[in-house]
Amino acid sequence: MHELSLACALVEEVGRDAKARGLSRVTSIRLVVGRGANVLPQALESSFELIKAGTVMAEAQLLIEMREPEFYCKRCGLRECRDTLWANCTACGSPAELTGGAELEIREYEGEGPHGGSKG
Amino acid sequence: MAEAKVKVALARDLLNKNKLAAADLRKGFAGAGLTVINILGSPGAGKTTLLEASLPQLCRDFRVGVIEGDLFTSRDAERLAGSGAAVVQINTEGGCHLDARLVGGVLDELPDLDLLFIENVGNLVCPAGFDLGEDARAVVLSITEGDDKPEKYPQTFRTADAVILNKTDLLPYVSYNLPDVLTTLGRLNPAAAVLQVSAVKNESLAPWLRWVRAVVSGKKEGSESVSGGIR
Repeated sequence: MHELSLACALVEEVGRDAKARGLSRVTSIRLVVGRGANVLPQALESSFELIKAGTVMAEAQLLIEMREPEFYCKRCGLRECRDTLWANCTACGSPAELTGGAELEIREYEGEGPHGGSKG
Repeated sequence: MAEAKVKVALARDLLNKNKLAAADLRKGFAGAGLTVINILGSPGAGKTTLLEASLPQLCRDFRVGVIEGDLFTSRDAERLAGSGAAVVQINTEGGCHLDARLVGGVLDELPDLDLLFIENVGNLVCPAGFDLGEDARAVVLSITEGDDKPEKYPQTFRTADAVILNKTDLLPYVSYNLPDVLTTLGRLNPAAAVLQVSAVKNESLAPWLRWVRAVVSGKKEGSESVSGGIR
């Protein structure tokens, strides 16, 4: 259940950035999660709900965008997204390299503050 | 004062804090000439037994330390107490993995070393996502866990530099499709070394010891870590 650690990291990262910008409220957070990142989105959402109370993101909505694994074939150059973590190239059959789909990224967030924050 | 709305394009890795802490550790390890190997695997895979079997030999050539990660008890640290290595136990008290901050917190308790093993919490899922500043990652997979584990836990095997297939002495007694496992590992992570050992019988440890020594000398020569695959 490392989703709780990830939710703590999320609250810390966004909280610090929002504070630096002088924002008083965070209303939504958009995360990009690769299917190869070992993260269950529902568990991450539940963990976030548990720990967001009392922070600037207490009323924030968490939006999780799942990313399919992306493969690159060194032999023929084909790039393709597949619903698996290892695959052979669909065009030439040689083993393809996983090049994306393991990310855990805080893409963006929306917040409110006086003048939209100091740096915003 | 009117509240204004703002959209912030943060584009920041969620594990940013751990990655920064791991980068600090890696820099410190490099400065101290210390080679660090992170050992992952299920509970009961034989991580501690592998260390028990190999420490007496490694301690002849290197000053070795071990950080033992477990939820509770210091049983593993006690098992390694007479091995010649300096051992420190971290109890995560429920936490499913070690992170860079936890490792950084116990380094003061260790003497000057050449080689440090970090035995992670027994778990094939969570530790894979947390960089500990290590030079190489070894995953211990025992025959008795079943031949489906690499396919079921791909991220752990994808991030390994070596996979130690342990308990091979039990192959005649269990239903285990070894060629299938080797094929899967080859597809998931072609760069990883696959080493077949029986730690409890002290059998076939030579390739494992050779791999450890190669990681140490690779670091001494200042080459990049032997890492392969996506972390």
